[in-house]
Amino acid sequence: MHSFLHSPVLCLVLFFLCLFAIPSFCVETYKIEGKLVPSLTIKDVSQLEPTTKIILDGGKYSALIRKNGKFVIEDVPQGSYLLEISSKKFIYPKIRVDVDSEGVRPFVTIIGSEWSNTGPSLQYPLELPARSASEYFMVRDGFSIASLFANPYIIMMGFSVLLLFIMPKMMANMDPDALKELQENQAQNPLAEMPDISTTLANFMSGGNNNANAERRRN
Amino acid sequence: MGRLLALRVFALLILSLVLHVELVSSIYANQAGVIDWHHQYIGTPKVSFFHKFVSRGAYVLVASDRNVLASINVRSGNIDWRQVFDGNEDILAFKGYENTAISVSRRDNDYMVRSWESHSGFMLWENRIKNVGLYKNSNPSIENDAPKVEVIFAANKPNVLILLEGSTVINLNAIDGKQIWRSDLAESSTILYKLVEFKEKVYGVGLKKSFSSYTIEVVTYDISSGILKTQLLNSKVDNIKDMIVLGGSIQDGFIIWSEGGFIRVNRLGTTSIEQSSLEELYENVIPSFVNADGILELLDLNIRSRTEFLVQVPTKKGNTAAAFKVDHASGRLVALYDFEEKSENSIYSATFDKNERIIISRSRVIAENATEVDIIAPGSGTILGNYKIPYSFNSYGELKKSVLDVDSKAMGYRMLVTSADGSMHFWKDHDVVWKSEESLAHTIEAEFLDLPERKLWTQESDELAEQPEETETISPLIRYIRRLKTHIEQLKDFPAYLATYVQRLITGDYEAEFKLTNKSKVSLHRDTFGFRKLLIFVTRTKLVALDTINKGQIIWSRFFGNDVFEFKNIFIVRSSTVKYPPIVVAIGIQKNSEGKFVTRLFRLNGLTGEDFIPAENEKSFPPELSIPITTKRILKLPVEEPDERTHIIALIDEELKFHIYPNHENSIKAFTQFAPSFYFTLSDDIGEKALKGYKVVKNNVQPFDITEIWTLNFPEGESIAAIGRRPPNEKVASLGRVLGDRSVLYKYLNPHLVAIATLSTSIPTELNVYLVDVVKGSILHHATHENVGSSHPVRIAQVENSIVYHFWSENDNEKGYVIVVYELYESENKDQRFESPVLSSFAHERPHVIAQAYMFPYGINAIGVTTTKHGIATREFLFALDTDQVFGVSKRFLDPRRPQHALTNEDKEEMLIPYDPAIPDNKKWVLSYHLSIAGIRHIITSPALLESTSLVLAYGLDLWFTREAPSKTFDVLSEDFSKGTLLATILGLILSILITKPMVRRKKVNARWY
Repeated sequence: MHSFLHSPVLCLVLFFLCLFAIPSFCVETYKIEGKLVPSLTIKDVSQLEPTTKIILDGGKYSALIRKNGKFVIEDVPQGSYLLEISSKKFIYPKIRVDVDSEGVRPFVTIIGSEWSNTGPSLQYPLELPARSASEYFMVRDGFSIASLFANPYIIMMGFSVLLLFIMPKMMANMDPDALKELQENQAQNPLAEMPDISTTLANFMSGGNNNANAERRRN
Repeated sequence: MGRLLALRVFALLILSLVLHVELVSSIYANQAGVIDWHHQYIGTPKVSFFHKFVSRGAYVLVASDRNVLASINVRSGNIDWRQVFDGNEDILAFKGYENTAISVSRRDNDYMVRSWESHSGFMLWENRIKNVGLYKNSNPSIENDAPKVEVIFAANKPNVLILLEGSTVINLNAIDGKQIWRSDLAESSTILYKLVEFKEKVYGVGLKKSFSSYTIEVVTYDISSGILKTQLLNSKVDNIKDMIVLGGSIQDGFIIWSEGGFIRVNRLGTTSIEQSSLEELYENVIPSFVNADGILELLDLNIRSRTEFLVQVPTKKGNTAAAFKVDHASGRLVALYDFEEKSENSIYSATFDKNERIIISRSRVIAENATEVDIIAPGSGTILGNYKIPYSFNSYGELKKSVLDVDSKAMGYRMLVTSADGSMHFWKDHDVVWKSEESLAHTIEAEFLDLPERKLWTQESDELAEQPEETETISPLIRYIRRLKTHIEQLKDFPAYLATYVQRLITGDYEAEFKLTNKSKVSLHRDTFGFRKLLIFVTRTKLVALDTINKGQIIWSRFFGNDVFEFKNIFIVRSSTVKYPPIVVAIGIQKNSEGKFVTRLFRLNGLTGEDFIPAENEKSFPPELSIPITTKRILKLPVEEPDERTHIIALIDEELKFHIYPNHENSIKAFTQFAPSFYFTLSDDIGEKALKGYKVVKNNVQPFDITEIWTLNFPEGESIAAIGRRPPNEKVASLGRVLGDRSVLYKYLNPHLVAIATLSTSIPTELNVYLVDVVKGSILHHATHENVGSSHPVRIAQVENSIVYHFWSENDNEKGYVIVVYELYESENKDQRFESPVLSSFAHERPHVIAQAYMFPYGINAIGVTTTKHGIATREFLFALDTDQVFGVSKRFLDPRRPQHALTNEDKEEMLIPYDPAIPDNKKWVLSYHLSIAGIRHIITSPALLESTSLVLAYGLDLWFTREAPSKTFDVLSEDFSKGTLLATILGLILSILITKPMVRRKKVNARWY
């Protein structure tokens, strides 16, 4: 063994073998292939932006999509990767891709869940439909009669107007005894003697004065 | 598992719904492009050409030095599509082919060949070519700048032939990119430069090293099989510039080179050499060459397979050129046209019209404000056009490159011209159709510059303008009359003011008065809300000032290309005060006549871009200064010199000498007073392995000496990956954080705290975060993250008492982007502060750090934080995403106090949001909506006069400006607020009172009667 290594020619041969062998044999690489496919949100893949990119592990490997929606990421060594589709127009699911000697196995994943928690597995080569279109803008609530009537204040107002008409009729239909009892109850109520803000305001508005009001009450 | 996921999705959905209600900082569709503006840039063209496609007309395809491929609309200058390559992928060649364009770029050691659909920008195919130049020992004696990559297209086959690294020739199918053959030149000292294809043969023309010069070598490949043979030409060439290769495709190709006193021509595929004597050329053929004073230069016009070319010769007064052609039949040189001597430096470009007639343009700057373009058909010698085109030499510098095209529809000549500052100009006949300030694609730094108030502008004509001696003698009456006069003068603006006031009331648009409508020049002054500022950009050789409103219109620009090799920094040393203009100092380096670098400082008036020369102190304050040093670090100090009230700038040179600017006596005095409390760090750049703290040694002579006071060596293998400093002049509204039970956690606010992230070289990579007090170099806090991805950069930002950093985690249980937020408090306990009343770096106190980590939905390129006038509005972190967007996340989401349990009443009182491991990917948080803001590297912010609003600028390649209100615009009526409805309601109420008043009165009267 000793003498073998000392042979300069063999050493050189070994050296060159190492040089060329390492890139081609030692690191076995794989290809991740797939396609962005039309779905309900995208009728045609040409709707995608030409800058749509497929990113593995935050940019360690990446590829642009082609016009037909296909993509290929080459020279990917074994490992477990997060595959993202970087698109401004559409939202795509995040994919976990496991690459090992058995091949390429993709799964659905969700940000914030544990990595060991794989979601449902996907077919390979990947066929990815867009989940939805990106909505960047808030929708402004336009004016509509329906929304006006849905407003709680408007409902309250409507209710009080309604009562204005119904109450006198209800009072009229009431049993005289019950009415008397009610009036007595009201008389006992100390609040009834308190000056009423709404009356004061109404008087103020109509130009009447409190004295007149008081006189009337004495009468 | 699936169910768990589904549950999580559901929980996220509920959470995002809840959060929607209260924390949406997004915008409405009709606000897009109203408050924000976006400038798209591509960089300076490396390769540009007109590409015509039958049904879609012509457009310009460009490959730029910022590694962008783009298609530009010739009429508007808009970018139709753009592909921005990663920073480490250089575009080497770009060429149009039918309705596609082929690009060749280099990534690491591999070459990427891609085909693009020329009208849409979609990639059609790509081919990665590996192991190029593996058998090649590089030949350093030949200039590296000569292109060793060339792309040509076969005449009769859909084949793309590509020469890579001067040795490998590849034949690809142009339809699908599949390789047909590849040929690597075996080890030899030949480097190929040019490819020509004709008659089913491909010729690679290169230079082979011989004793003192080079010999031309021609390598011939068969187009179908790639089998080659090599042949040496009997020639001697000194420089690659002395040789050009023309023709090919449908006709024969020729090599033209200058050798000794001759220009020689070889028809490719043969060994015959024709030659013309230079002497004869100078004396008889080209009259203007008589004045020749130097070596002639062969200029390839790059017009497909044509054999016309230019010979340029310097003369005593300027230069001259002549057009030549190789005659196909005889293979001899034919002189076409003498351009005659002109004193200015000319650039040439050529094209041919629909009759295949060659047309050459000659352009040169003839005055400070004009260029002249001659359009010549050299075949017949006719001058087709002579145009004078407006051009600002002070803004753009010399012309560098031009591309000519004949507009066959409108019968005109159009040109894409690149100027020395990197900008693109598009001219058609006499007119500038559009121009693009591409120098901004190379922005080094940008600063916000506050504008002076309008009031102060009018006062300039008033008492403030008076001289000091006048002030002493003037009587109050005269001063009063003068004031009155000013007011009367101002009265004439009153109708206009009233009009804008009414308009503003109706539309609610406070910027209307600044918009360029009919008035030619609007004075530079601040608006009501302080939304209007100037953005001062320093690019490699230029300063540019943009207006934040008016869609970022250029206010002034100034080119320094002749004075400066490269700018390094820009500082605003004095803001606008009363009648004094703001002062900007730009610092760059330049090579002096001895080839040494000198540092140059330029002081400008920030409003006009002109040199700033103060009325007094003229001597001590020169507008330009050269210091024969190379600077290691330039700092703006928080002290002002007393003469002109500008901030002092410190320059630390390679020999660790400390210079200050301005360096007059009073400035030195001011600095020496400040020096004892001044500490700074060096070697704090990305990639450094140790941090060093310094202090100025007090001696009153410039340059000062500095001494190292501490060194912080990071552990073996670690180097700095990111640094976060607190923004200078930061406003902190509250010293503490009020908790739900009304107790207070006091913030640790140390201005000398620097957050440093280091990455280790070990595998798996480790991320270490150190909080360092840079006065004494002590580590106040240290955290380690294991299994961090080294391919994605680490970003860190510091504001108030919080630090945010972002990285890629490779951990088994949390693979993805992680964002971590720290908050620093004086104590762990509520209502407890440090014992000493003053926070000192020399005290032993350490902050109490609380932290929380979240998964982040995107990779990022930069972090910014909103700044408001008093710092009351909730902070919002702004992230430049990988997807070229700006994403805003409220501080309330990046809050380490987010509870991990069900919310208690106290938590609700504190308005905390329950912890969630992920920051939601809410598209409504994308401030830049669907815009593609390419290449953002920095996000800077500046306060407006409104507390709610922060001005935001993202720059890098593109520029994008917006106003962001992180806690909504609580101090202005919302846009939705309808003044009309309010007025109508009030009117309605008044009317109803008027109507009901008599009714009520009548009723009351009736009540009295009965």
